[in-house]
Amino acid sequence: MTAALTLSGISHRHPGAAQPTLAGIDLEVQDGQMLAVLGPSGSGKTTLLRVAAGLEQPEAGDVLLDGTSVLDVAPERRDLTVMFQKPHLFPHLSVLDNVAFADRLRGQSRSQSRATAQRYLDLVHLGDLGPRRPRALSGGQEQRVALARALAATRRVMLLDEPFSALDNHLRTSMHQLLVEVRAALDPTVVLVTHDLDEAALADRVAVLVEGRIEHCDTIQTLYTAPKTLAVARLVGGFNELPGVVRSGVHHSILGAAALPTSLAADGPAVLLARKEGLALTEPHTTGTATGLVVEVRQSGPHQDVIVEMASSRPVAATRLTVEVRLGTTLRPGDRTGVVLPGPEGLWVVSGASPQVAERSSTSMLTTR
Amino acid sequence: MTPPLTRTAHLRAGRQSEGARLVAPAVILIVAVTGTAIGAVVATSLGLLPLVGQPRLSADGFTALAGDLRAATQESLLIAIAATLLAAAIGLTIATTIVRAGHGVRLVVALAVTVLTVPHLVGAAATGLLLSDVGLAQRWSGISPASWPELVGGRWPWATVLELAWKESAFVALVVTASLGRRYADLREVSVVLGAAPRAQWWRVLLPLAAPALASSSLIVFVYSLGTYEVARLLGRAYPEPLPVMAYRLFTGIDVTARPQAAATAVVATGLALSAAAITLPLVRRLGADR
Amino acid sequence: MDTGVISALVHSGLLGTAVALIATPLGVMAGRALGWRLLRRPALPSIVLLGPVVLAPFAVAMGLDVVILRVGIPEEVAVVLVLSVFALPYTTYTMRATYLALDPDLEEQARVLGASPRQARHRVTLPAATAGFVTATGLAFLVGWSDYAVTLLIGGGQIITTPILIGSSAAGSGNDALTSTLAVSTSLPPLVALAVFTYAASRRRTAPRS
Repeated sequence: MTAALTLSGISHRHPGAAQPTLAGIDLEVQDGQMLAVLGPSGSGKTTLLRVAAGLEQPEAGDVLLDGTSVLDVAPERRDLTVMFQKPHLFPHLSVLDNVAFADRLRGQSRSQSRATAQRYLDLVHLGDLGPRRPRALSGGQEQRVALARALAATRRVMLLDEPFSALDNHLRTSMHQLLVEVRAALDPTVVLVTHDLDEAALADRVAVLVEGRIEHCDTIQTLYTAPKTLAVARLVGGFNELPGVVRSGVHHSILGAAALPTSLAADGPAVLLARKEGLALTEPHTTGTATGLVVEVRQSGPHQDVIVEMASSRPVAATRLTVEVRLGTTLRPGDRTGVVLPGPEGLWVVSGASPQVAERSSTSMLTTR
Repeated sequence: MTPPLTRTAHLRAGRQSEGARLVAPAVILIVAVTGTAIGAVVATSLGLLPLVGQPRLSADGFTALAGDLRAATQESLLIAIAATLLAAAIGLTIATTIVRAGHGVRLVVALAVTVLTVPHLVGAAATGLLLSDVGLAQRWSGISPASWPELVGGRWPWATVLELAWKESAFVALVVTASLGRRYADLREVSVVLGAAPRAQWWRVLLPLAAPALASSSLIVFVYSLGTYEVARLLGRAYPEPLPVMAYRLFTGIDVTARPQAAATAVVATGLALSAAAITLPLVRRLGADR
Repeated sequence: MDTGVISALVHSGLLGTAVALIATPLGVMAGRALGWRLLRRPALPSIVLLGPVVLAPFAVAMGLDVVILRVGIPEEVAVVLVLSVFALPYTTYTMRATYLALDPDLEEQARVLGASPRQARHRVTLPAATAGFVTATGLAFLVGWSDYAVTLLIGGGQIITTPILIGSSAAGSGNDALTSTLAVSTSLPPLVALAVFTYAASRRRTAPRS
């Protein structure tokens, strides 16, 4: 089966920039699928959308719609549309005529295109606001109209460029709900660019873009349990990194030996990844646990993070672990505590030595809301 | 010390009276000078402020030279309408070029600003040197002075209209460009991904967005062209002369009894400009509504 | 260049400066009120401040000439007043646009950090409004520098500026060389000033932040 949208070997460099913005990007989106491109700001995700839409030309690579290259097709004739970060509604048109814009371009009559537009406006729950001017709308309403306008263009693929990032939490959640409704009703093919993990979770698959490269492309669950690289793990956040060595399916670090899932048994230097909610605290000096000193107790959403500095025999920087516990821990900085690693199913390794990153292991580059 | 919040609230409360105090000097100066001047012009035109003799209310100022006044009004309207249409068309074309082209834009903008700083009088003098029947264009082209078209001081006010359109198109271009601003780039991109080809981008996005600025700058060009003296004085012919030239001639002539006629001419010119503004402003406001 | 031309250039410069000295401060104040929406009913002041654009300079000059003759106001004062009125829409609306682009909260921020209203204006807002201020000043200067109609009518041949020289030279034919020289010497100074300012502004924009 041919993918609805294929990006193959896309490289891009902004004029005068030393580093490429995008380096050899390969991505496929199947018909009716939703792909999220997740990356920190400056990772090149917006550029990727603009290249796909034809608003920027790539240095190398190809953009295909249904298997046909559209690299030489002008953006207005490519069978895709973009919803930008800001709503950018046309100020000289009413809300209804904004939604009817694409149909008017196709030569449909005013009444015909307005009738169609009204259906899309109903779909985004703004059926009554058609006669209003864009200026009279709230931020959330503006983005809904922009979504209706993009949908009414009825293009093969819809590209969304962080369209909800400027909205507050409540509005963003309702926009996510609306996106789910729209997908159920119209089954569009969607590429969503975002820096928000919760937003990426709406998609069928998530491509993680770091410094112009796709580091990982899989379901959101896999990102949380089995990130392909340290960069992906840090982007997702909540991982403890323990540098060490794998020998015969067992990882050895300052926390001692940890058995790994059998599939991960390649020998050599490797960083053990353990999610903070996978670790547990026990009484200090229990057998089979490592003991450390509590340095901080931090509120994290409805949980608490206990940061434990592990005793290290070597003079290198001490390893700090973050353990997520339920509210109401009695531990205070200065207390001693034991830390228990989860079993093999809760662990993951990424081969290679780790740079000095102990401090960053508990903080994410992303905003996890 | 006052806590910060209270101080901010105090700042906001003081704003209304502050605004009135800020605009007052400018408003008073304008009202005093223009009110006095226009009042004096109207009074003079009605015979109430004669240079010599007793004040006497009469419409002689308007009726004594009614034929000349009508011809001058026609000439003024012809010049103003032609110059406005040309300036608007050229200005919009330049603005389109500026907002569309990526590079070389700064040169076009710099040229437009340069044109704007050149005084109309200099422009008119240069146009005269260039387009007259013994001008540079005639010498360069090699056409004999006899067959050179009467651009300067001829039957039709070609040179006057061209000079006004040349300088005012730069004004229109800069006003329209500024009003489009960054917003146009974003909205054009939206229209592109919704399927708008270059022609549709111009019709459905650029033109509607530019319309309020285009209308208001055209109005300014129109009233300026109605009221300008030096351009038509240097480039026009003796008869028919536009209203400002006629007013000057009558006002500065030796015949002091012609002053009511001069003032009447000024009243007609002012009335035309005010009517144009009164007709156009609701349109400008409607175009710019809800933006 | 003979002394007549030089004194005409000086007169033009003085006229431009006088107009800028009146129209710029008034325009800055009015522009601040309009741009920051400090008026409860801005419609009427906005129209009055734009009004001179619609009026013909020759008509206003003619009316004022009639009055000063009776009241005994010096012609120079009348010329400066009329031209200042015609410069005010430019200065006001340039500064209005400048203030629109400036966040009034910046001044409030300075106030809550301990600045007096005067300090807040001088240390925060005015530096940020420099480009608009220079543009407004330049426009006001140009109105005085390049005026012909008002000077001719009210001055009645007594006030000789470069435009007056150009006018009389261009009206009489056969003086092409003189006309060209005068035209260039009138057009160049503002252009040079504009170029210098643009260069300085671009230098400041690209200067390292250290």
